[in-house]
Amino acid sequence: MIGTRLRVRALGAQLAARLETDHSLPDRPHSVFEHAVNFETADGALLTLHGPGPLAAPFAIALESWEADLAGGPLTLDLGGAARVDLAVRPARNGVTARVLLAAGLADTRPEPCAAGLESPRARAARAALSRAIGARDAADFIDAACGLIGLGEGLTPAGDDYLVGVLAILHRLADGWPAAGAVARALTAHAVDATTTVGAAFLRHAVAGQFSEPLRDLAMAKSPSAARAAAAALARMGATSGADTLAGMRAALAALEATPA
Amino acid sequence: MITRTTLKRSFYQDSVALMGLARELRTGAGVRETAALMGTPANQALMADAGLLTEEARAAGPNDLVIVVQTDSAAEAEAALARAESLLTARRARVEASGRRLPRTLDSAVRRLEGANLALISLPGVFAAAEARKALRRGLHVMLFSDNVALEDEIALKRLAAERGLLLMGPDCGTAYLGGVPLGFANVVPRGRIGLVAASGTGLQQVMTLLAAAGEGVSQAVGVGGRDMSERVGAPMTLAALEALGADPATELIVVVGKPPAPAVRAKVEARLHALGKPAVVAMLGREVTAGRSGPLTTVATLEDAAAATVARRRGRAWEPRAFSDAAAARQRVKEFRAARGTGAAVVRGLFAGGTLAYEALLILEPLLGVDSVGGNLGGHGGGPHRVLDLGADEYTVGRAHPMLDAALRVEEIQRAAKEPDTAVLLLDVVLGHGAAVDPAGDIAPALEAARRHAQAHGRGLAVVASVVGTTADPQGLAAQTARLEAAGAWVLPSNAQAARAAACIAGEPRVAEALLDGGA
Amino acid sequence: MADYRDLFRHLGGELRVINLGLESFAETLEGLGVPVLHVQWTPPAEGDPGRARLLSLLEDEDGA
Repeated sequence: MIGTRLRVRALGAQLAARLETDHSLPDRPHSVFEHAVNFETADGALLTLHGPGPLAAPFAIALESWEADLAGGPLTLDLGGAARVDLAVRPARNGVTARVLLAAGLADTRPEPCAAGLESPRARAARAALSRAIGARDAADFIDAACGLIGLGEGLTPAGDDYLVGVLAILHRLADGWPAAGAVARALTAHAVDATTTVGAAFLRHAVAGQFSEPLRDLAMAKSPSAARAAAAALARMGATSGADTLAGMRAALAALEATPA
Repeated sequence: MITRTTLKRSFYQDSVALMGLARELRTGAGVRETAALMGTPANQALMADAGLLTEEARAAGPNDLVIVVQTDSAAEAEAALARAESLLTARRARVEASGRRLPRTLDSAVRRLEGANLALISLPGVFAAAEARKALRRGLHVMLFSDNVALEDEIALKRLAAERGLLLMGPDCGTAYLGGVPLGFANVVPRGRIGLVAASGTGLQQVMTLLAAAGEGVSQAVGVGGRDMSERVGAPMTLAALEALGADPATELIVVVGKPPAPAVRAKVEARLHALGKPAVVAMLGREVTAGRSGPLTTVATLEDAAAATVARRRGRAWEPRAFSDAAAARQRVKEFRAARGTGAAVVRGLFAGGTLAYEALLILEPLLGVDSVGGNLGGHGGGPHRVLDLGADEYTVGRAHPMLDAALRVEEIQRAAKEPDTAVLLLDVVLGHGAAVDPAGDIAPALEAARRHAQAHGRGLAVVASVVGTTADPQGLAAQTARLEAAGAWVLPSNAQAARAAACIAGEPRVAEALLDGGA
Repeated sequence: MADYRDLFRHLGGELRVINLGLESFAETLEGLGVPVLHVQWTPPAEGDPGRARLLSLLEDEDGA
């Protein structure tokens, strides 16, 4: 049966490396949306296909054309002309500069998250506990608080997950990725499997490992105030409230880090 | 306070859609609290905090969508959940087996589906005509379910169709049956020898289901839309369908269902029928219809008679219209209901989902109860007190789902009618089949029970008289739906016409029951 | 008017449906094993029905 080769415009560098050996996609999608299609591979990993544009997830693949016919049997990816995008958020060489740039980028965005679930007493308590844990560099408290946010709130990726992804981006940039390594990373990832949706768990798994969507990555790694502001604006537009919830997490983490002696 | 839950397992819809859903739920009538969240443990805790964690919600997993509503009444809860359901259905992307994305235009669809030969169009009327035109140009037959299509467009579209030998079924064509495939709102009927041409969806459904009940099957059923046989349109699709049925070896008898057409059109249609050389039964629902036989043509005045005359013709038997299929049983029930009527209660309130069924009921009630005494929204002359309402009419369905799909409006009207102290009879239709609600009888049964109890408490008996348009093979099941209505205290008759007569016997002057029942008919 | 006598002979082969509008109609047909393709329809001509109508009237008639 003739399959369809899908020309890829861009994908994360880490994903590209994984796909080098196997360009095929599963037969059945996991879920289909107007602007994206998710596939779950045999090893449980999630892949999102969408049209040209910034990679909306660390596990996303931007195709050359969204009008491409996804019909006609097995789908394979043509990575020939694809741009491999570095989606890793790495520790800043100069933490002070990085903080200033991030603050500039976040300054224009709304101060509160848009998802009502994050305003519930339960969520506020978890957010406060998370900020305290970051300030005190207490990994155990961090895990507890994070687990209180995983799976919490509106959205296919629950708002709490988006918030945490934002927090983790800041921590990777300004705190060497603390605490997301080793046992903590495993604890969060394991908890996510049962505590949130498949898509939310995929975002969290990648965030713990320092891999993010293109707009979020651009904001966290911005080299200039204008780049930071543009990235923040792009991020704010994502999803219904996803972008805004992520920005809220970033703001909270930034403030929590500033509350401690460097 | 009522709390109701809908659980959608393994449900994936983007956040924008979920937000729209939450907004829609919050603004529902009588809604106090609502949640639309993925069923993660954290969200279950959130729901528990808000007093919304029901048993069903507790059973959800993280990839399941949980919708909980808390309202003042069960009806409001059900209405809120039904609106959510239709919102989700409308937005849910369809996934075909190979996971292909769906086309966005008719053109790309035609390129994708090799050999496509029919476009089924139920878009908003303003856009439907343009899409129908495109479809015809591409050589597809069209079933135009949409109404609110301009008369000029209908005329032009049918001209275009006629030039190419294509069918344009509609506008406002709700039911068709081509090559054994039910289209739109259609019942599951056996394949057989009877071909039908109908200007009305529910009219066609009533005839087809009665034929099925008698063991007769359908070869083809073509809908032509309510205006086809009008003078301005000139019956092009009716004539085309008749020509096709005339030449179809599988069709041995033809049934035409409509309203009495303009004389010039009538003459054309009858001439065509005579020329086909096949027996034909013509059901024209109107005020001055003379039933009778003329060569191969039998003209009847009701949908039930159309089926009965057809069956009789097929079996080579003579046939006479009769008021009730089981006169003895009817006599008994009428007697009981009349005795239970409260003093001063003598009004029939008809609440219909099917427009043609409402119209047929009106035509039957008028001579029995008095032409001037039957009002409603069907354009009759009467001012009441009896009322026959077509709840699917435009004025009722703006911003609401059609009563064939959503019982909320009918439930409201049942409640309203029950409160009127002069109501003696509620007259209803329940339509089954593909496309109709999952449990139409179950949707209205609680309201019917409540209505009867309410009347009882006020010292009067409320008669509920209904017919079920459906077959045993329909997804909802004719027997199950009938039983549900009967359990709610309804008297279920075999046809809409008989139900209307029964209502008249209960509510009308004694001479009505005498004429229809005591004559042994 | 064209000749309709062969209509049901042609259609009798197999009905293959393109559905625009209510998804439930496509779902029913799918359930019955009828080849059906649902269209994720969006209004053409920027959602203006008057323009849409004009567009359809002006469409190329070639081959028709």
